[in-house]
Amino acid sequence: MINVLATLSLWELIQRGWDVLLRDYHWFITKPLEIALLQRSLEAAILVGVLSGVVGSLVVVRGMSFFADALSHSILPGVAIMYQRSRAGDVPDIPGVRDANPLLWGALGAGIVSTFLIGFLTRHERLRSDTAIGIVFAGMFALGIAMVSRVESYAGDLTHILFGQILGVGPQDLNIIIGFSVVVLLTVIIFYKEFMLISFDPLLAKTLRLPTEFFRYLLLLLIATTIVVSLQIVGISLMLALLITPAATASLITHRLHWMMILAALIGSASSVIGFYASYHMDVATGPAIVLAATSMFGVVFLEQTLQNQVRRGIYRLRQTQETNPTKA
Amino acid sequence: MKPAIAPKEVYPELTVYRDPITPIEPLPLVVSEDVTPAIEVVNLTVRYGQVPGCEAIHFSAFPGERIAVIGPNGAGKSTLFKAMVGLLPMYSGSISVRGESCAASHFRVSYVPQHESVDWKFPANVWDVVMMSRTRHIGYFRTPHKIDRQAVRDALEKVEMWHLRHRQIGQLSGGQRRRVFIARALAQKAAVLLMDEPFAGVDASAEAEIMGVLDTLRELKVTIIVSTHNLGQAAHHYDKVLMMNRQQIAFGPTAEVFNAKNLSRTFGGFLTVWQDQSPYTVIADDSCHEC
Repeated sequence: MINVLATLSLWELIQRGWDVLLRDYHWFITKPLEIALLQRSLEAAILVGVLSGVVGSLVVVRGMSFFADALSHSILPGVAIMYQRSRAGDVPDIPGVRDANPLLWGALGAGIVSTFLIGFLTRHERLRSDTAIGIVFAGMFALGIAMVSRVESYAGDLTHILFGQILGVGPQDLNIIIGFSVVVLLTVIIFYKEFMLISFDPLLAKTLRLPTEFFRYLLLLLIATTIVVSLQIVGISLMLALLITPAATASLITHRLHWMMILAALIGSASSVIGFYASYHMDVATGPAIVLAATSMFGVVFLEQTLQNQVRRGIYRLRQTQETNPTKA
Repeated sequence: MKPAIAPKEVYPELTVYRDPITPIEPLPLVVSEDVTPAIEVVNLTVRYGQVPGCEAIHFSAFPGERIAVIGPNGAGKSTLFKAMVGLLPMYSGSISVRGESCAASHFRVSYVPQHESVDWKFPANVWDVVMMSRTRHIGYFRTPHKIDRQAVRDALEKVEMWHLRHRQIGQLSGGQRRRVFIARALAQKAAVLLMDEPFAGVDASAEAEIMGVLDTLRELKVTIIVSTHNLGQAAHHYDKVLMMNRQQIAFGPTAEVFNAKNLSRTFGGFLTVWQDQSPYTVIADDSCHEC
């Protein structure tokens, strides 16, 4: 596949791809889905794309990308604890925890702890928020690496945590992802106008006597949950792209928050689908493929808008010269 | 704490204030049947830890009045506003809105923050921003009702922004942006509108535009309290002036209070004031080069 790519020009590639798509629809689209594992992965990826698009819109709008990045790294100690315990066969006997991927629950616990730690440190503006985030982020990440380094032969598993392992999504994991996605999406829909208000004008929210602190923590928790759910798909280090890139792309297209969320969800799920098939047919890791799909969508939209602006500016200038000097043009 | 002046005694005294003795420019006087002050601030002190923000501020404003708060940078004007709207805890004193204790009716006071503190790139259009102020009226778990949409529409028509309701807020001019925030206060059905430096960084035409909107608010009996650096404007366009520099220097009708003694006390040595027999007061302002 790679060799073929190298010898073809872009146009030929598109034509060839289109032909293949039409002729070998089965081979291209449906065959990967015959494997239950892959089908599950695709479903998980689409869900995560929708979820991170919606929550990511709030992250982008509030300028919290550093927080999101920090939070995704701070869940490492939780993952490490559960990893050690599961290797020792010492998994808590709680329904859901027992059957599913124990790392998910560890990640959720660590995410919640870091969220409240950061929220607490930044509460009275004694520290600048980016400073507080940096302190917690680096500290928790270091703790996680220290814990993982005590386990022998951790390298492979650490890679999965850092870069994601979509094929590790079991049936129980998928159920958990569905459950969390529904809860997070419903919360965003129910409290949409409150989230919009505290994001745009926290002062007004306070004067209207809304519980702004409650909504702030709720939002941080939603972000933490989204990150944990997306953990298996793209891993810790690429999490940020999934949250930020589709939302940023949407923000270029629309200027209303609910459209931005809907568009970001569409773009997120589309990049999941594209990334999934690209990963299958070109034999690259799924997480990076999804992120690259999202990034290239952003690039296309950004370039298109830049070009459009240039053209508009050009037309405007042309008109100006025509008005001032009709004979010249 | 005992209020320095009981409300019933305040009223006859303040009606005397309402007749300007020598108005610089004749103002349309508001003769209000409503005796209750729209907002009454009694001996308000706000402290940041041990540092005083503003001390012993004491004034009341009636429906439809327009009051300028003037003072040098760091005089505690923003602090006063934030306390009045309930964003900062009071160290001592009390605030009542329409005769009610402020805890119940803070949302009858609307605060327009300084221009720089708003994220103008936020994905929201004019309609969205005004609708935000209805959040409390709409209530949790609900979508905007017909009443809310009507309130937003009325507010936008009052400030003549209805035709721009689909515009993203960042694409508005300076004057239009302030008008949107005034509309927001109207949709909130606020009795008192606090505007923190609304004229900072706008040109003369936008200033006139905002002043025009403030004139229409006078008819709606909304009390407007504006903090400003523009002393010339303060002298001409407001019914009353509150001068403060941490402490309250003076409060009263513009014609009475706006004199050399009070101004130099407010601005300290930075402001030189010449006043002789002529009706003009000459003010040299050194205190704020940035504004």
